[in-house]
Amino acid sequence: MSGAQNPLDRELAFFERHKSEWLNNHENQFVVVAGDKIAGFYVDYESAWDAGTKEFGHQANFLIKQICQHEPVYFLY
Amino acid sequence: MPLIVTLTADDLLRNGPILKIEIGNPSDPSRVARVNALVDTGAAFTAINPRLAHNCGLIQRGQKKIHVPGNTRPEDARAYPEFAASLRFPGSDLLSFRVHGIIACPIFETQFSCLIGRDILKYWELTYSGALGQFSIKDSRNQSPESD
Repeated sequence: MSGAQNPLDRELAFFERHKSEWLNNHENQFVVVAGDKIAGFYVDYESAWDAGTKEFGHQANFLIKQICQHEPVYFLY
Repeated sequence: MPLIVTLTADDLLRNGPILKIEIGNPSDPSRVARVNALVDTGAAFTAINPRLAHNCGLIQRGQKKIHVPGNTRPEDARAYPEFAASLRFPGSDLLSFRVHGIIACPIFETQFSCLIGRDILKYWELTYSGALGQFSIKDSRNQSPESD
């Protein structure tokens, strides 16, 4: 993250620890995580954001991340 | 009704297909910025200048691994922050996005502050006529979950 600390480091670490177990039933869904608390799994980003803001609040740190077998790399050209 | 933008062939060649976009904070509708956005079929995701994310008070909700111009090897991809934002297209009938994940990436600072990528284009039909200096965009969504 360009040297600066990532405000979602804790959530990303939690995601990596649990990704393999989530892949079984939630592949391609979006998980919502704050700290080590999960607000559920959702089929789209918008639903995940709604759940995160409802569960943790609009200003809270929470992660929305799609569960994929391999971390995709995207191109921006 | 499709959005139809008519320029001269030279202007379209020089600038590309640019349209106005409003990028907003989905948690605070008063924090919005209207900027020029380049429709970019080469971009997998919609990206904005990080300054814009800061000005709108957008909150980071994730990160994505991205290859940007200048990267030559697969391992050059870097993680860039992903922010939740609302997207609107003033002066057109294009449907807005109430909440959408966009990348903040400091690769462009010039005449546009936003690249509209294929994550948005998957909802649109884009027609580009370089000879006429014209491009048009038709929203393919009807009542999908991501529309207002």
